[in-house]
Amino acid sequence: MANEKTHEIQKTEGGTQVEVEQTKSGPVYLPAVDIFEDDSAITLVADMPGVRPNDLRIDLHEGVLTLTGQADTTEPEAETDIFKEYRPGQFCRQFSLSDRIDQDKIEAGMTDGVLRLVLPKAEAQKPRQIKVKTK
Amino acid sequence: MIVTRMRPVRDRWDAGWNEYDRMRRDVLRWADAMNRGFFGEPGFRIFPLVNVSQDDENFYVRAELPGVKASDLQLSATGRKLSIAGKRELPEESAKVSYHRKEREGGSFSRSIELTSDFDRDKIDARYQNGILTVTLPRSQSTKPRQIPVKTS
Repeated sequence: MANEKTHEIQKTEGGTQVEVEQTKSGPVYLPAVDIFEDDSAITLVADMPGVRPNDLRIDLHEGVLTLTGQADTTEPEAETDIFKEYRPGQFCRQFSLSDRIDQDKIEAGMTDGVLRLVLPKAEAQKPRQIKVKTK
Repeated sequence: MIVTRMRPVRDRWDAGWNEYDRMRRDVLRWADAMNRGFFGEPGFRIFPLVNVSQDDENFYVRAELPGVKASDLQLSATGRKLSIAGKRELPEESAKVSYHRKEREGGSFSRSIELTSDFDRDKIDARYQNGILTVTLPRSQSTKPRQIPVKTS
């Protein structure tokens, strides 16, 4: 949980302002992400420790991808804290995607608190080889 | 964490060493603040982030370790100290991809936590789930809180 954000309005990666509804109280963390692309897909890898696969929401709407995950790190009530470096909260981050994504083929996997999201490009967006004919 | 109830009265210039001491403290506090995030939690240079709590039976040490394989973790306990070390390996992507963003970091890490009282080193339990490591350290018999009945006669 490197960077934190509590603003209700979050800036998307593309620079547009999008309202983020805050459904739960507590801090909102910005997960660290890797994003890479090849000819067929865009892949996003995000660190979200403490988020169970069921507590993750992935939304793609009008080219804006929103990731929200509630980290289940609340301790049992009988315990008292000695020291605390991270607090239960929510991970949230938005991205605007430039390519058309084939929404039906999006694949998401969550292992050990790391989300891996594969967003395949729509057929029309894939680069096409154009043969140059010579006479 | 040090909590001061009130700000000390500003030192006078004639108390030379006090002034030096105050400056030193200020610089240290500033350096510490630079390494902290918005909520006063430690910054990104510290990995993994750790929470420590206790109840009557156990101490609990929890660490945020996303993407670390359980087999790459080494835990050891000596005296009152628990050490968490390991390696976070990021899977190699194919050479054909082009990166837009690379914020995640891999590499070795190690942290050790010293607890305030003894624990039973033979009965430590460690679990890793959803990127969070939970280590349960049972308190030694002698340090468990004991209920003392109050008699009335």
